Amino acid sequence: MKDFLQLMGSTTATPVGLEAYLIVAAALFVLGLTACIARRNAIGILIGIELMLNAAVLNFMAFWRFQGSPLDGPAALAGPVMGIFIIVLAACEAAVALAVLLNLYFNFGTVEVDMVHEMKE
Amino acid sequence: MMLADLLHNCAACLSEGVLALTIIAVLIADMLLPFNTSRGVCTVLGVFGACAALLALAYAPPVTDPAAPEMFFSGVFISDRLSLIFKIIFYLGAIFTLLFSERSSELSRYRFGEYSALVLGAVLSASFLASANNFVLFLLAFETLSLCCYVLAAYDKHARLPGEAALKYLLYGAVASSIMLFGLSYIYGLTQTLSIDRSMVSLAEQAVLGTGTLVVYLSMLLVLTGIGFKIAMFPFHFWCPDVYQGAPTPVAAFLSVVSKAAGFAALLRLAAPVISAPQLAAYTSPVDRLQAMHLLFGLAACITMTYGNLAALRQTNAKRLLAYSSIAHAGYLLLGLAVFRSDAVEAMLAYLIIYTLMNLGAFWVVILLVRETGSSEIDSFAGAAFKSPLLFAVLFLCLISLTGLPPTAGFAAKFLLFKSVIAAGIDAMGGGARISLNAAYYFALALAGVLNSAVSLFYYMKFARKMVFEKQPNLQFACTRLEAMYALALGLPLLLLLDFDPLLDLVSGVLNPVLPTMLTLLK
Repeated sequence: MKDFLQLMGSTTATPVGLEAYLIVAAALFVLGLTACIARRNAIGILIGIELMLNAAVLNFMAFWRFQGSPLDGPAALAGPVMGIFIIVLAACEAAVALAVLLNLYFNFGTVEVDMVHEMKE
Repeated sequence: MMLADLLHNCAACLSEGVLALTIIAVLIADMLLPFNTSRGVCTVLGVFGACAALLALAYAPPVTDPAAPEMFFSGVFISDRLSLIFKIIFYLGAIFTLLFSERSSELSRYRFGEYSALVLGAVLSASFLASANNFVLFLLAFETLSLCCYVLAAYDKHARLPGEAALKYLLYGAVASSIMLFGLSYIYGLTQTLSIDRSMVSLAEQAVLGTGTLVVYLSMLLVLTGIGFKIAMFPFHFWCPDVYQGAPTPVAAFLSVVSKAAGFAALLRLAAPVISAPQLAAYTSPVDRLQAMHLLFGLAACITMTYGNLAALRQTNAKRLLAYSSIAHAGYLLLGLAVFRSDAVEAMLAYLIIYTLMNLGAFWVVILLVRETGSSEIDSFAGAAFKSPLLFAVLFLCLISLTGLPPTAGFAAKFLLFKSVIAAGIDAMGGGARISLNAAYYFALALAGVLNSAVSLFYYMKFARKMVFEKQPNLQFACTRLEAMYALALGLPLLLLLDFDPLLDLVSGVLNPVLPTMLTLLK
């Protein structure tokens, strides 16, 4: 177990620091947001949302791994718990979103968000 | 010992437990009964469950000291006056939404069990949100509420407009909540805890002391994006008119009351520890602390209410009109956060209670009008006032109450809110005669609120005028005695609560003596 943890870089002198994780997460978030803004296909937007959620998971895990959660108790699993719940929520959201999109496809014959605008000011 | 502890904790969320059981009961009943009977049975079960949850609030351990609210489940679940008042709002919203939906024509084609379960599920998660003191519970409740609302908006699945409404609601909502989640991850990194009260106080300390300022403000802004979407705050409001117009009218009523109140519950849950933190007052004078927060919420309030009111002026669709009106009301409510003091929070809670009643009342009459005329355009309601004077009277009462004119509770609510803003301005003057910049800011906010109320009179009265002074032949508009009762149940309190002393008492005083009395009666 100890060897495994050392292999995973679990000692204090880790080769990869917190900053690296934060930069990757921020990049992932920006990519996701860009996808949401730039994509016109609803499925593409959903993928962007998943990217943003994963960026948040990465942040939670990285902060927990490097700082711990001392105020919640010495052994608090704050990061992993939050991460798991975000993954669960992402799955629920995808299920609901796909149901809505499927229904939209039955009614409009498309999932391009630009083609769906019947309500006008 | 352990068991007693567990029971003590479970007693705190008894009303949520009742709601959860109701959801199961409704789903089973819907499965066993044929289409026609299930409709009535599910409504009765749902309404009964929500009423039972309302009564179960009395069993929650009484709040003795508002400064030190009771924590349950190792500090995850919090029970205080804030959560209690929000739960009352949510359960009232659920009861009336279910009653309205059963009478609405837009949902008559669909089985009612799943619909009731979704409404109750949304209310259940909203009520957990109002009690959340941990970001895990906060997130779960927030997202479950959103998911239930997305499905409700799309419930009329054979029509095109609800599909479009649900698409917009879902995509914007999911993006907003992912942005909020990313902000929460930074807050967790900055404060190293998931416990909301400790985390928010620590974050505010960092903001006041100026350590890591940029990230502190960035994370606050990211979180505000998600919550701002829920309450339809200005830059995040654009989904609101389309969703209210496209969604079935009872669902629009539900979103405008429960979902919006839940957004405010989330906002106040995050803000309340900072407002009442004694250690923060030590850094600077009470007025100057967290100046960026005052400025941000003040600006958001002004822009939101002005935008909502101006855009409502040119609406011809009743549902869109009420959507813009609900955006404007989010603006008025945000004034309380611009003040960022506990008396302003009390005023916000009073306003939310009254807003719930008057908005549900207005929506109820619109639901009936849509059912009878088959359209939600205001033009098609011409002459409806004489077909059913009682319903028109209730609508008129709700509209002047939404405007905030004197003989109604809407006036009392607005008065309390603006009074708290002006009181903050007077305190900012510090007893001197010179009006400081801080004081002028608060007076300007109050003035903006009053001017906006005057603007809102135009469109509310345009709506009412259409129903009285214009005629159209062949208009059918009637309601049963039961439906008139619903209208009166919402309209009469608006007249009875016109004095603001009872209103204040309701929020601050009456709940405390009333609940123990109810408790003893029940036992």
